[in-house]
Amino acid sequence: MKRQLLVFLMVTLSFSLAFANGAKEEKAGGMKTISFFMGHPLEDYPAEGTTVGNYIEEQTGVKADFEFLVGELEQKVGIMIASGEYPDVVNGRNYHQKFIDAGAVIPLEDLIEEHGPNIKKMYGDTILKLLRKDDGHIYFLPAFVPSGKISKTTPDQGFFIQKKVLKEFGYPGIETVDDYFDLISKYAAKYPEVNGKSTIGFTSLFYSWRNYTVMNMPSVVTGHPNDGSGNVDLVNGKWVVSQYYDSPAAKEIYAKYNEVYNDGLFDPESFVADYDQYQAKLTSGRVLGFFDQTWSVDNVQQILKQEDKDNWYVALPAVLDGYTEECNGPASPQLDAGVSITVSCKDPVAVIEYFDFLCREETQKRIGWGFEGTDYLVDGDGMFYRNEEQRARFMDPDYTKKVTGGYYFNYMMPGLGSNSSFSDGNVFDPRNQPSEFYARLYDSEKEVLDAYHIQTWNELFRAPNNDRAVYYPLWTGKMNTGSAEEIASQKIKDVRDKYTPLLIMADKGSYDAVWNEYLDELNKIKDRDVVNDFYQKLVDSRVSVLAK
Amino acid sequence: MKKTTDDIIFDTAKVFMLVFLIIVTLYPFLNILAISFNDAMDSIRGGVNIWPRKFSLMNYEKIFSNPNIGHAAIISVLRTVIAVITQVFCTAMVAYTISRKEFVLRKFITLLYVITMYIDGGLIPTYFLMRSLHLVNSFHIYWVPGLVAAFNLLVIRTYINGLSESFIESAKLEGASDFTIFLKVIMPLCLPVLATVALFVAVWQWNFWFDTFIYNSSNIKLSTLQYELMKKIQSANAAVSGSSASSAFAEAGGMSGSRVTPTSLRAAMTVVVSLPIIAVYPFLQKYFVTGLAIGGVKG
Amino acid sequence: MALPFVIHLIIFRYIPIVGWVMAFQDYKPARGLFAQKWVGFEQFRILFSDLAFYRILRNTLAMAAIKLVLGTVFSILVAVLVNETRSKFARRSVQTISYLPHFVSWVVAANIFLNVLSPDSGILNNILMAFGIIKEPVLWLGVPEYFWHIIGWSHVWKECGFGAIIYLSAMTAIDPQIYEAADIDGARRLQRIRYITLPGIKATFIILLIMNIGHLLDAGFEQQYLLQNGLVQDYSEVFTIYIMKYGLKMMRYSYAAAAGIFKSVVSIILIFSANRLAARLGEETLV
Repeated sequence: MKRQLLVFLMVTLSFSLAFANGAKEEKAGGMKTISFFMGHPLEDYPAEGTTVGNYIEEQTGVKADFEFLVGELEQKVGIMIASGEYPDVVNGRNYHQKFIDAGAVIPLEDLIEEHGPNIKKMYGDTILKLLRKDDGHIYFLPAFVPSGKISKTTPDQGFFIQKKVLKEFGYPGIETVDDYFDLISKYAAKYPEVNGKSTIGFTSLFYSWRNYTVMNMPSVVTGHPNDGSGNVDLVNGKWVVSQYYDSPAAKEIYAKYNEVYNDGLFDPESFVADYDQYQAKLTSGRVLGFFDQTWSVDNVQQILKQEDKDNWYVALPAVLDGYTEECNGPASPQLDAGVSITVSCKDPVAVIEYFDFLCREETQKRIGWGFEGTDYLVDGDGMFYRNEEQRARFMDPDYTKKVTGGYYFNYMMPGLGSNSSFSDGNVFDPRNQPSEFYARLYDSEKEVLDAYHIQTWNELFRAPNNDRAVYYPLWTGKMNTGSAEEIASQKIKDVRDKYTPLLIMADKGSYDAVWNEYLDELNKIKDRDVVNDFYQKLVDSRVSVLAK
Repeated sequence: MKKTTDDIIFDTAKVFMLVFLIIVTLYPFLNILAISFNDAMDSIRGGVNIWPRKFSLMNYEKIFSNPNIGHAAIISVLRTVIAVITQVFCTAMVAYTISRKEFVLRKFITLLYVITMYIDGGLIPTYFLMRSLHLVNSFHIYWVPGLVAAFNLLVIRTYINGLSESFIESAKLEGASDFTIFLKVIMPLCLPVLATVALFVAVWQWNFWFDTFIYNSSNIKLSTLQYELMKKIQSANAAVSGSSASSAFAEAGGMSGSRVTPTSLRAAMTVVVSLPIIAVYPFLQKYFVTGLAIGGVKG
Repeated sequence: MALPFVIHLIIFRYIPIVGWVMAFQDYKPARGLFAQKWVGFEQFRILFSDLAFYRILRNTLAMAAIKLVLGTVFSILVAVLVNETRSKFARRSVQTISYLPHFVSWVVAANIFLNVLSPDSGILNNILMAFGIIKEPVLWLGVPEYFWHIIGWSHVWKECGFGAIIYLSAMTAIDPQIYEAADIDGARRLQRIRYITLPGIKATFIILLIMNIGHLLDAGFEQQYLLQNGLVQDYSEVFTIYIMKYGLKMMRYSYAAAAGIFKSVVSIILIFSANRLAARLGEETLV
């Protein structure tokens, strides 16, 4: 009996063993291999490589072996740290600080000094200073480095309004939130139906983390740039952080939303709809306006512009009475995460040389534009452009990926921000090169730009206050996981998630009562000031590092 | 046999309920099928019903363009087949053991299994255990740890308890060993419940990807179909979740039909992963015949 | 012949329980399990002193109980209906189709439910308005009191066909001669079900019931997570979401471990109580 069992187990074991030996290492002929863990879900790097990737490989003699995230980042990072087994390079994104805390990554400043002339050049002294932690070491190199002239064509976020509404009223200027909603209500009164269905004045998105479209409003309507975690104002020569979730402006803007809701112009489904439903509604042409970040409605805008019925949206700045709009923040690198060399890496010098190669302007040009001749042309003034045929090819994301490698060498690797320019004045991201931007516009878009006498959408907004560059943006400051401030922010978030819709849905006259209830709930949270203290300290330390 | 009024009412109600059941369960699936064959950008508009509005194979092309997908599917099939065979056999064996009244430790062993349904040591300790057993970066992680699952064990044991003792008694009188009785008497009588458990194990194995993520993610040769599809969906998700939008390559264009969205990919993925396992069911249904264990049941 | 399997069980399911010591530490993954700071029952104190904890406990128990009752009743109903169907083709079609939703992930299923329940063009509101039951579309997902219903019924939709399988397999063990004898005695369909089919699956029913009672602190995760919103948050947050938000996402492994231990202890007490009750009533028992 026992023997039969044993035989059975042996058989199954050997059976499956046959399939288990996949773990053989492949050696690339004479090439060094650097292994990466990138805390972001990307498709596997194509086996046949990419045009730019192959170029980098040839030039550096280094083969990048990527592992991208699938599943939950914190689980992956937790296990990596607990087991102490790392690839050569990690980029832990939101949880990157964990690697630093665990002593899993090595200081880079000496390596950069010795082997990274191009790194030094691309990042510049200011950013390299900002990257130093309290212990004086640099642990990672972030992406999106600002450099040269900043060329921004499209605003990050705004109050979106349908083109047909603007057209109907002769492209009026909009300054305040009241102006914005007046326009919507006038239009809705005139055209109560779209394609036989009721017109929706304004919609919003409360779904999961996408509810920033509502939660960030108190900061937006006081004209602050997208700091996310608080407002930062210059008070007596010092950058002071304040929380906006219980500010007078919060009370005022949600009261405005409440008024719009009670007038029947605020879409009640907003409170429960998910992103798919939101997009479906926007593409239906029934919605006159909404607030969101630009990338979030890329697909929607694309569909509507192609349809060419003036149903697409223009993003406008709007603030409460008495505030000045300053929605554009200064260009900034990602200060919370980047690539780090781990303690498991056998040859840190090779890695830093690899990064240095990526930071060469020549390499960055290829990552941004591809190869001269095939992928872009250069005009008499040395400016890059694409002809019709090239442009059409690059409209296909699959093609882009084959050439430049898409995100692989830009998004999580050391590299320029999409608004940055090279030393010759060309912009890193072709879409932000003024000539390219204009060439891609639809006629319907040009009509609006002409009506407002501007060249790019971003000109509807004020230029950024570059003094903010000393700390901006606040949201890249990451709290320690499990710290008092992180727990308090989660509690505040829970209260806001519940009360923000309740405030907007409040009956006429009971708004103040709901507001007070909201404040009471907030006051039940112990030590919620630790959140603001954390950000104040962060700003102070960023400012003081630069002052050194 | 003549029908009474009651029976007619019963039959009418039954047909009504079953038709209702079919409608509410079939419709969503047809909807998913339609979305999976619909152009992704067009699906954003919503309102696709049970027939594609703008037919496109792009969602499936995107899924199958992954060069690893074939290998991953083979691994998925292997892990499913191996796990089904080993788990059903081993679980049935343990179930038979703990169903024997004369076995003194049966209560204790049953208890040991029952408790495991409600305790969990957590991810990190489990990871360390698997690593020290050399199950990390190994195919064996897919079938070894779950060899006998408490739930399946109890389901089979309950079924065995319902069988008549007389078969076992007579086999014993003929001098058969416990193992022979298990193989020749118990297994055939238990076919319906074994088919059920086989189905449970197959469904679980086929759909599970967390073990690939935790233990085998750095070895593409051990990747499974579900895991490859998760990769695809999550990368598509990330592409529309803003973080990447600031990159130069979130480029939409949108002119060509090659753009996919997480929603459309997910629809295609639902179809791809569920069809094979759905196809298995009718095959197992032939074991669900009343009276298969005829005579073996307590009267 | 169970010995190798018992060893296997102890290795794979009991050794990792060492990890429970984390609950008494302030665990940081960078250090070994026994090189941590010990904090005694501090994690449990924090857990039990969180006001949200009790609300979450209520929600979890309520939704798990609703899902258990509805899920069981409807699984048995489907199984009985299928069992009463003579036509082989009809039987197989019903079984295969009703088990389809099990393979639809919650992400996809939640989207379907959001559309069905939509106040804008959702089919539920349209039907109810067509019959004049309601005048205005209802924001079903925005009313806290309805949330548990939505969870319960969406669970029935997704799992009743799959849940029926196990009862169908139990029904195969019923001797057809008993049915034939009953037919000769002129038993009606409902009587057949009542006196033959249901007693035939009682043992399976009891075993599943006891096991599921142990899962009363496990009301699901994705389902609530994807269907909830701020308006219904007081009714939708469950234990698993709480552990995720305040434990794992913040890498508070010790806190998550403490919550896990609490859950395990309650579960084990529950199944033993249920098991003893079953024994006292003379029914099939788990152990």
